[in-house]
Amino acid sequence: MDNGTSNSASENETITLKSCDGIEFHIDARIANRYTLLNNWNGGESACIPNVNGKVLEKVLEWCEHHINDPQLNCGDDDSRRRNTIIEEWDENFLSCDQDMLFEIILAANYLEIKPLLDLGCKTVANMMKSKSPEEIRSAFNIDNDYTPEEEEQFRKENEWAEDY
Amino acid sequence: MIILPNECLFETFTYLKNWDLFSCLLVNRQWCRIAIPLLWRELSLFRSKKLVRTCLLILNTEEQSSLKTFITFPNNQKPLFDYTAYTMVIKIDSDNGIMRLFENNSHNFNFSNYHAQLIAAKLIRYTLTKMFLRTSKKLKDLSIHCEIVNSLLSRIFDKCTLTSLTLSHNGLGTEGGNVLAEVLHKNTTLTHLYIWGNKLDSQ
Repeated sequence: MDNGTSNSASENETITLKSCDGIEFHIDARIANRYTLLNNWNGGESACIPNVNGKVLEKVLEWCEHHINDPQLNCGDDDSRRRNTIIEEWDENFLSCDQDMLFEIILAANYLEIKPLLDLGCKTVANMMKSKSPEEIRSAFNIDNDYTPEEEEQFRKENEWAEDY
Repeated sequence: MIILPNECLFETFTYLKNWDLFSCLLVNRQWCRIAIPLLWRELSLFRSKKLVRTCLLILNTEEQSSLKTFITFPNNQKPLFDYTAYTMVIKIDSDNGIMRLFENNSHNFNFSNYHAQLIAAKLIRYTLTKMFLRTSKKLKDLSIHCEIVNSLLSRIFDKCTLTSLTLSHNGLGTEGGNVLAEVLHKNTTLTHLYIWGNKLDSQ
């Protein structure tokens, strides 16, 4: 029944969270058991989560709800590179929203310390960057180029080895 | 328009391969500062002539002067970044990149014959390895699968950030074995040491 979650809360217990624009959510206490930071905003009339609005919080909590029985991974401080970028179908559909919403979910996951959702969001963004030229990335993410042409050329020359290995 | 903070961009970049990181670092200055430490973290040093070319720019005056007989260095051309400061893992296994660099002669190489090229390649390999030992402040894992000069050994073992060292097929011989024994005695940071194919002798 437990499926790897080490929580003591029973299924019927709920906690109440409020977004920064005042929308209340009653969620399964087991979610707050996994992502303990959520407990900071449990209950109290005045305790709303700063920086996260109702629309975003709804998405974040929807994701938590869906993944409530996932095994909890010990994610340590793994700073190595080249991790896989495979994304499950449900998650892919869940994050196929507009880019602003995707970024807001990442920011909220970062702020609320929901690491698996943060990883998933970053993976999704990484997939959007793959096989694109710098110019294509700039236009996809609406970023200005602040290099001088000389600087850009020098950075290109000094790092072009990366293209072939 | 929402902008991702640096920490989230960094997380995102950890999922990218080198060629995608290369595109990212050319996007703008902010992205460059995040991508470069990741790109330069692990290197297979002398496989790519383009990488050797960039590394040659990082040599200091003293290191450059040891190569002056056959390379003409461009005046005052310094790289835009302390790239090698971010290198934590280096694998040195062939001189292919150096030999290919000789072929296109961008540094006005001056060789009389192939034998001279081989000697020069060895000296470049030695000098660049020395440069990495000097500049890579966080070097953790070094593996050398070709011959190095015994005089590098004490520099390698002085590198207190190193926790893993592989010296295979280095032909260290008895002399190298003695140096090894001496420097190992003083080193306290290494947790992994691999030495095979070195003809160390029974001593």
